[in-house]
Amino acid sequence: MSKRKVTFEDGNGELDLEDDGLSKKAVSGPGSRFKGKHSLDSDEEDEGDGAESSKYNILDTDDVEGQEGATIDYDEGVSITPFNLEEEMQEGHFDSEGNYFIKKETQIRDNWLDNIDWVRIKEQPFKKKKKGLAAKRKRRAGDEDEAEEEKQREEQQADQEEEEEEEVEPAEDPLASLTQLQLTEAVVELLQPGETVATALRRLGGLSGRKKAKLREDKDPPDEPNRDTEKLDRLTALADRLVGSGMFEIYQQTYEKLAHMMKSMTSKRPAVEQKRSGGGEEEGDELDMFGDKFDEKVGEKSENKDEEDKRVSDEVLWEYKWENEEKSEIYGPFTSEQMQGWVDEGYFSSGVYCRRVDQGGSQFYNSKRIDFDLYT
Amino acid sequence: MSYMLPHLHNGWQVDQAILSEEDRVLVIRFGHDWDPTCMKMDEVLYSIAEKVKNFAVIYLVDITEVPDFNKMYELYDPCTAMFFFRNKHIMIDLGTGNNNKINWIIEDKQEMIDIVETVYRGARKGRGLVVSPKDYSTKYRY
Repeated sequence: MSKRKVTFEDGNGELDLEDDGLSKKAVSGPGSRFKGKHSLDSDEEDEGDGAESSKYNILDTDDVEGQEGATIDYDEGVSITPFNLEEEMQEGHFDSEGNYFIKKETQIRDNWLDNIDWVRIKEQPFKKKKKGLAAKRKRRAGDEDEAEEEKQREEQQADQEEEEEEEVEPAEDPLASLTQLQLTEAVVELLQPGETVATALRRLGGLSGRKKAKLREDKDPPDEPNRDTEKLDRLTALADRLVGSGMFEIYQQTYEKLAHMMKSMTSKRPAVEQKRSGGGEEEGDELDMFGDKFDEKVGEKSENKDEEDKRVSDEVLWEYKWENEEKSEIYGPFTSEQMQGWVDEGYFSSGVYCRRVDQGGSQFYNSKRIDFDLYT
Repeated sequence: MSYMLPHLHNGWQVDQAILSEEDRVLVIRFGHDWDPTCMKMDEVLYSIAEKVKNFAVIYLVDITEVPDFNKMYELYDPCTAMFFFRNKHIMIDLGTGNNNKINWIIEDKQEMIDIVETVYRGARKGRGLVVSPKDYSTKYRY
């Protein structure tokens, strides 16, 4: 005969013997031993437990030996925990192996979570934080419902933000389509002679007069700076685009330098500065004639420049031969990239004799001394 | 042809020339206008000046008038040509053992143009040392 008063399985048997009319529900759940318990365990009745307990073989506190009732609560200011399982049984249950399962409802729930303003959270770098919160919530055993709610909230916010981002992008397109030449042209239009881009930005921003005002010791009221916001924005955007397209020194380029650059970039068109031509037209026929002559001159100059610019700016083509004799067959033309590739592969291991195609009858140089990388 | 090329008459002008040129190589010939070696060198330099003017500018410096650089650059030859780009001295491996300067006459104009162009391309890419297309180790004799 077992020591225990009423065991789980035996209890069923005993009860069945005593009263067949008892429903199985009452027998199977922990409620079957309701009367047998000393503590306030009646409060822990949980619907879920009814089904689970049959799986897990819930341990009854009575089966645990050596429990003692509470004695004193405090000993010299230190709280004493009674040597029994009453507190633990309030918050969960043990199975027959001694594993402890916390009840869902007694999960600690921070009240501040209810008060979070999710809209403000969204403004922060949210992706990492979101994952953390949702993930953390999931990890807490049993807190699945709340984690799902949060996920749904987060997804909604992500959708909203995607819509916002799409709206912002189209606004930047107008400038993206311009070439570097067109961008430079636009910048030149906004500059005054003798100015750099940085100085022009200062002028348009309305900051140029301050130093002079200080020197004058405030005798004369400083002139009102003309802050041309539209031009300022446009110049800033253009300069930014140019930096992005590779012209890193744009802010230090002067009006003259940019005009010169434009002339060299536009090979066919005679480069006429708009301001000069504008002045010529206004002042009458005589200056128109000058304007024509000027166009011709500039046209010639730009053509000459092109021929020389091609030396350093256009693609360089090479031809080579295997031996430095007049009879050797010449192969080519090839681009610098091709030549460099062959050199890298070791195809020209002993060096071939090469020269640039545009140099005509010049001598052939040994490929070992030439760095084709410089021409790419 | 020395009179056709610009001269620099003092150390400050040389420094200014080196500092102010942002896009082009500076070729400076150190020597004397009346020296035969320099005269030949100036002839070659003048003949290529127009062709390389988009990426190089040539100056002449009389080392008696401007002795400031004689020790620094060891200008003990009758004629020396050096290359600068953006305030940096560019060295050229000519095969002669001295990478800092050209201290003999390069007769062929195309060779000279090629050297100047190689210096320009290399310097633009940030190199401090470039290799001249032609090896002068056998041709040059003290």
